[in-house]
Amino acid sequence: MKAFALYRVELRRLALSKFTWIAAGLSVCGPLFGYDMYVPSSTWVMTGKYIANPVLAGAVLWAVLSMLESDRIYRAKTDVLTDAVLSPDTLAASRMFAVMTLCAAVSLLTALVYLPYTMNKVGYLFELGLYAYSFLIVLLPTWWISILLAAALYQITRRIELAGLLYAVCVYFSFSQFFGNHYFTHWINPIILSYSDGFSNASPLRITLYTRFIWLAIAGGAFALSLLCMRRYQKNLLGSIARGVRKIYIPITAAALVSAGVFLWTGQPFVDHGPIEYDYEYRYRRDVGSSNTRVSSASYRLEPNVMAGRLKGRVTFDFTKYGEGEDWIAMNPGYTIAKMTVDGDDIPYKTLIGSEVNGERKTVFTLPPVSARRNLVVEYEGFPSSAKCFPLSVTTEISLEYISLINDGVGPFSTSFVPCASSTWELILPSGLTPVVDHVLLENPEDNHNGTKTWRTTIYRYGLPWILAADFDAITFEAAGTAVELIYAHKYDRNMREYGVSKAIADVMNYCTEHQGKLGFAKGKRLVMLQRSAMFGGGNAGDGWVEWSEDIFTQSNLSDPLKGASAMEVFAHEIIHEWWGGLGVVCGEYDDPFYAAWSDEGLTVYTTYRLMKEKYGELYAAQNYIDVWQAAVDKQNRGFYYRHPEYLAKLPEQYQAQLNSEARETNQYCRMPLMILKAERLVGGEAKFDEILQAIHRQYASTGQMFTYQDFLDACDLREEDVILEQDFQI
Amino acid sequence: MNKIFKYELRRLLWNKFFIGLLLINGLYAWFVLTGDIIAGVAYTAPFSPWSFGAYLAKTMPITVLTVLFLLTFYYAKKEKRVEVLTGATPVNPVRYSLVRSGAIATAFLILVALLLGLSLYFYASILDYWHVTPFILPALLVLPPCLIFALGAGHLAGRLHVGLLYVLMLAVLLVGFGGIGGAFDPFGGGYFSVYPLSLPAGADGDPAFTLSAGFLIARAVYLGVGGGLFLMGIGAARKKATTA
Repeated sequence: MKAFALYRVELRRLALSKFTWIAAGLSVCGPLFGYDMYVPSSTWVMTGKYIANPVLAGAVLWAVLSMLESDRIYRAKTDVLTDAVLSPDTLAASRMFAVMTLCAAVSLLTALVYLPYTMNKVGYLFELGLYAYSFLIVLLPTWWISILLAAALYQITRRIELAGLLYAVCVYFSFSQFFGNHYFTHWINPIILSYSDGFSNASPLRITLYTRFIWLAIAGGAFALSLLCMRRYQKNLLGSIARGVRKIYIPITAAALVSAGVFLWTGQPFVDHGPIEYDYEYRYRRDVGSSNTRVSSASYRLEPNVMAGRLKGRVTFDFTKYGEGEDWIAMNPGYTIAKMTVDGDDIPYKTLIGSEVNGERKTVFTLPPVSARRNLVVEYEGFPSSAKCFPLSVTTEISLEYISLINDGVGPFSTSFVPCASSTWELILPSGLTPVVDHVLLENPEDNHNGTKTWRTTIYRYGLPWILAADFDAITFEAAGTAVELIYAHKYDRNMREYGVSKAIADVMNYCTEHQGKLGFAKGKRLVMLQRSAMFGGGNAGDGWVEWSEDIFTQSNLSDPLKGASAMEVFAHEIIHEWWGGLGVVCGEYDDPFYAAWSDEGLTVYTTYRLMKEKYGELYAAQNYIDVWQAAVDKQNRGFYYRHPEYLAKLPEQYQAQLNSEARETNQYCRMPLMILKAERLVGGEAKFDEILQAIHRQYASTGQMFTYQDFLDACDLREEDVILEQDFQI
Repeated sequence: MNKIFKYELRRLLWNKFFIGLLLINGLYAWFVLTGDIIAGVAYTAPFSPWSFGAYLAKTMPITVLTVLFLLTFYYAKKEKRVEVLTGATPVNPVRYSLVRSGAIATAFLILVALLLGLSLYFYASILDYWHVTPFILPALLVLPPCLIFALGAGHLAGRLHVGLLYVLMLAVLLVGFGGIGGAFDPFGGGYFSVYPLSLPAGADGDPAFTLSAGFLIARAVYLGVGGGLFLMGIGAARKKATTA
């Protein structure tokens, strides 16, 4: 019987089977688990809550069906008959394609069943394309992988219970914390940290599609390999394999598929191949020495390919070389240099493959030692990758709806040059995107009449700017006597107006101005508040700018009055950084070990607590702030490695880095706010402490002078031992 | 009987399933050590008796699963068909059953030796900790009850229906990874991780390894119930042989 005819027979038989219908029915129910029980993706954004999580559930059921179907003829003891008329591997392959076809039909049915509900819940932010892609890219391939793997395990072991056990082990490892941060090891539960409602979902979809290809190839290869193991002529496993390999196309297919999976895995472009932990010392090693090269001007031209997610760039440095010395540039390891010329002539360069650290890779070259001004041009192109030390951080993305180019993702930079204090930028972007460069919304583009526009700007600082581009809207208003420009994705326009976001911002700014002083902006300068994609996560603040992840402005967040110590407070926290950090008082002490605790965060967290105390009451503030800080500090005090740092030094570096990072976070965000609170009590209460903070603000804000821990103690007229937390200090 | 024991042992241990399961046990144990135990449980040292007890308790579900899986060899359909022949031999069925259980216990001991070896290597190589005596008590509290209960419940389930062994495996997975906690946690993982938090810190900062009466009673109950079930299984074997 021809394989296709056999496939049709199997498909018909499956379609008529009662068990298949039960399995299909249960599969359709699978996404229900994603609404509440299994929620690995961020639920702040509506598409995450109602699309991403539901499509991540339900694959195990298909594995059960797959194994039971593979076992059926042996259970019914009809294998002797079927083997007499059919090749067992042809039958197994036909059966598997039939199960996969049925699975595709059920996934389509599932998509249709949940469509009206999802459209209703996600509301005006719903996009049919994202919904369809989620089923096609996430749900269906994962179900297929599960089917293939389960069938392969059964066919290799020929024992349903053992295959089930091995399948359970595979599932366990996919879910286990051991493979926590690796996109590529999650075969049954692809990592989708978040979807975006207002920006683009290209990043999670691209990487999920890629991992699905990897695992489809591996599972397909395993299935092809298992066809060799089909028991025939009453032979055991090895004997059957010896017979099976005579059909040479089976081992070739298996090898090709597994090789394809391995090739895709090793050659993946999403995460670089640098060290797994962040190297805090790297920049000190990197920046050693001078090449005697002075750059007098730098101009960049960037042309993103939004469909392929790639960037094509060209940078021109006007330089003067004063003496001997090798130069280097570093950039995102996903980019490769296409050409490097000096005054039009190619020069040799060497990209140090394997030298990736902290998400950058060096290229070294030697410039001709002449004093006249010369012109170095570097052309580069590629798909930007994430640093392996922050594998889940999607800071760089190029897609049709959103472009985010941060740090090395923008292009090459070098500290071996003596840099110039400004650079010019030319961005060629699709017409629908408006760029924000270093938190400035660009204006007046030149239309290229080919669906793109050219945007030009100059930045007046050393280093590379942050470039974002999306369908941005902006509103300008005044808060606490300061001009505020709020830049957000056009899709959020309705939320911004309906929920009075500008008033919420003004409330925070008014509070801080009243209690801690006026923001010290230069005349005419705006405070820019920027909304970024949910992939970014959390918030950030700097010199005259604040940015938040979009999830703070989602409908579910803005409409929840109880969202206290969470997203809405991140929003307030980042604004408060304009008083403590950013353009306000910069707290720090870089050469002091105490720096680990004393930073902008301490006073910012304390001020957020005060704001929430005023807004929601003392009980709320105590429960959501003081108790949380105290619990974290207690936990740290009790920690074995905190009590015995001599053992910390014995741990592998990766683990040390993780513990140090946790300790730094506890010190900055919990221990120091608690110490500041103690200082507040010691100086005589909130009113007195506010006076001290106002005095500090008047003296230090916008001066560029570092406000040290000792300065803080002096301002409060306290000694270090006064504010140290004793074990029995409970507020 | 020696010959039969050796034969059963060879049959159990010298096959691809056992070797595969041994590998899985080792791999999982290493992941537990480097992922969980390295941090120490309940703020205690990774080499505290609490952490070591938690380590053994966390690895036990997979080890017990392996024991139950090995038991399926004795209760498979093919085996039942062979039982007619073995029943006709002059071998004492009780002794035969004990010998088989001894073979399973030996397999368990081999698995435990692997787990212990890995943990000692981990402590010595990473934390430069070379002591063994603090680990004896937690090992005694975790291992014998797990083995005896698994053997007892497994034999009984297998005698009733081989399918029940798989149900038992599922139950082990659910209980082992679902996290019952408290004194009656069958493997003790939840207990070792939580109970020390309620104890005062000792001189070195870690709470002393003092166990609650409830936990000791629970371990004794598991041991006793497991032993009882095991004896029931042996009794059933004797009865079956007498009836035959």
